[in-house]
Amino acid sequence: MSIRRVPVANAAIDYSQAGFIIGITLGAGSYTGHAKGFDGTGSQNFLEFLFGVECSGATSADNTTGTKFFPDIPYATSIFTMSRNSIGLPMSAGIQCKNAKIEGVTTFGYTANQDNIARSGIYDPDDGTNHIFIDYSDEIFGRFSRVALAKPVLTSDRHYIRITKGIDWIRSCK
Amino acid sequence: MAKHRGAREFTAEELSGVALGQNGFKILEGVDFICGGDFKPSGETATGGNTINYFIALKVIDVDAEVEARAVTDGDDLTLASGGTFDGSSPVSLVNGDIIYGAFDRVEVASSDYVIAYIGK
Repeated sequence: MSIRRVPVANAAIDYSQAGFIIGITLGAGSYTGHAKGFDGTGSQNFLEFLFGVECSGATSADNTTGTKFFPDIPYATSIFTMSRNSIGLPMSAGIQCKNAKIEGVTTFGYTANQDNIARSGIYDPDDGTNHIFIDYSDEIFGRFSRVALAKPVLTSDRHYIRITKGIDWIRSCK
Repeated sequence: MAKHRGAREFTAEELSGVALGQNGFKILEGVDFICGGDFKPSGETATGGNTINYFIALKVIDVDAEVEARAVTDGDDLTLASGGTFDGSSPVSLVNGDIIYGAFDRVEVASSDYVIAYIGK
């Protein structure tokens, strides 16, 4: 692996030319997971996005209020936060991300050392103390195969994020 | 320690690729992380036996952070130590969201502070 093999033009990521997903959680909302989501079926306190192989065959037809599938996108490349509270003031958003391993690069150990976006370093969105809070208008870059957006603690608040899509799975194989 | 040769020391392609997290990263918290690659001075022990040569960017997340970092080239350390040399006890206070670019082979982060350290090579 070398950095020269990065398959996505950086400018395309910067300017969201690969497309994006808007994620929203409401403090007063209720979110039900899918069996292939992190928490399985039932109520959960986060909204989870699964990409590529993490979907395990599920498609958008299987989406629930708490679990969204994007099997054609192997990973997301950035998370941009734009949350506001009930009176419009900017606020941070709690997120966790699971890092997508970069295939064939374990020999030199660079990306074998990569971590998840989580306080413990382990992706566990069910644990509210494990969220990393990202400031309003801040952006986190990486390769994320799962993204979890926490439900706000206050019922009047809302968490918003923009997830930038990575490479197109089908076109990248041609 | 090597002398920095200016703007062409590292390629733009390398810098932009890593700054966007495409080569992976470490979450550092309450640690004195020493890279295990070629730039490590003799006698030092790499943290966790890693094979990372250096980090190319440090991004503060979650809360503000106390960070001290040693550059792979002379005179570029992120430190408040007199003389500008990393001493392990002179961190710089960084605000949540700050990004510091460089090439750092040793990074010390205070307990309960979180930094994304983007892997170079």
